[in-house]
Amino acid sequence: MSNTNTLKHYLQLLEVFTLREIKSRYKASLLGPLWIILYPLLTAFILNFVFGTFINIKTEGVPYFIFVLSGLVVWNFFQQGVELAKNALIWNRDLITKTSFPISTLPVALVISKIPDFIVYLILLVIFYTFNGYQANLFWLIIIIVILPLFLLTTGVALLSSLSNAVFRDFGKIIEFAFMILFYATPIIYPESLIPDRYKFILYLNPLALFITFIRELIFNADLRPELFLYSLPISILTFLAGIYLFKRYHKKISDLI
Amino acid sequence: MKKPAITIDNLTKQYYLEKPRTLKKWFRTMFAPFERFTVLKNLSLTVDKGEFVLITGPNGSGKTTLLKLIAGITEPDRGKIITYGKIVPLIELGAGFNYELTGKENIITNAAILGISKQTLKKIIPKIINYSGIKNFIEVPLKRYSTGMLSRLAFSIAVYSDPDIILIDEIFAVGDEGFRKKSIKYLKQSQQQGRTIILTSHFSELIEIKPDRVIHLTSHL
Repeated sequence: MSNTNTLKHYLQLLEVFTLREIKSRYKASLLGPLWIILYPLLTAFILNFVFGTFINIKTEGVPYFIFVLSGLVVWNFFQQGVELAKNALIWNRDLITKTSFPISTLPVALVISKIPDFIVYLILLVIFYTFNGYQANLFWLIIIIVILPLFLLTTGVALLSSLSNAVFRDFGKIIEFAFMILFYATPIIYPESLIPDRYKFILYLNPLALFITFIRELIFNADLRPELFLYSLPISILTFLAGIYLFKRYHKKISDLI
Repeated sequence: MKKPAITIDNLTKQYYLEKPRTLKKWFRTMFAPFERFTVLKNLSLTVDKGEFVLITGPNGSGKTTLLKLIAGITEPDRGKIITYGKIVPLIELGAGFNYELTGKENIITNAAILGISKQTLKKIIPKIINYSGIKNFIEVPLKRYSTGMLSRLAFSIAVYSDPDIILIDEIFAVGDEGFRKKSIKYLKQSQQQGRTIILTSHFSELIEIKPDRVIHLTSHL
């Protein structure tokens, strides 16, 4: 196949795998796509109760519910995308060992299938933001640019974890623990201003923290901080390239090892 | 001068006897690698374009492995394989079917995996449905299908995928008499159209069409 045909085939596979995932996801469920809305709202509600009301984390005057929701928008996409995609190869064992196609499309499609959820989260954020007496304006549209590095980062981690999980099931467990640590290491339930100065550098090593801080500065302080966005690019892109590289290198071996 | 469809040069393929599933086992392999099982050893073979080859041999002789190597699903440890044209492997009918989705939705996914472009698929989808003979079930989720219906659907997609090389792994063991006849008719047609066919089977006498060549693999078990 020529290069354009290979690319066309790759995109076609991404499309059918993404649609297959979205269509089958809610087929056997009662509430269907309503879960997209329920999940972040229930999470934000619980976190609001524990950290906003009980522990009373100071968020510089921003209502805690909307504050934590703005963090969950980014976190949920990353966490759910990777959690879903880490099993992409294991679930499609039959397909991998019996047919021939570029298998990196499987995890990548699962991450893509979560993009509509991300858009819905953003809409929820706008709704509750307005509900809390804020005025959403066109400035908001800038948030959309976060999708690009967030998608690259999530896809990179998804590729790496699906590959390692296919060979060693241990990685599935390791990823769960890593998520727990990462959830607390990222300023989701607390503002980045609470991080002591000598630990501030962690913020710059964690693209998720940069995305969240970028969004919060923009919508709560009307402060555009392009440097936060730019700092997130190198690690996001490198993670993505590492994932693609390892898949290219090992994809023929996977069918023997899975 | 005949053109080759597949050339295999001095091919050796080994499998791990124990798959490295956990880290603990992996560490051990650094000091004492797993025992490897040689499935195919120093195999050389040239299949001409349009040739119909039947591969026979007992269980474990490497019939399926050979097809997987030709299809590029797995790679050889030593040696080289060169193929010419589009390959459609039918190692297992319906590999990758999603049972929550309808027959039609599965046609779209499976066709993409077999490399049928979107434009072509639009044209041939009614033909595929027609050929499968399960028109009334096409909007029903696959979990409501019988085994026979599943193989009919999968085979119909493969028929319209327009391959140069067809690899078939004992799939005639499934399906009813009508389906068998239909598939054999398809193979005869493909042969006339100049497609290259490689078929594996336990028993050569079961095949009602005359292959150009029979290759017998012996078992290492």
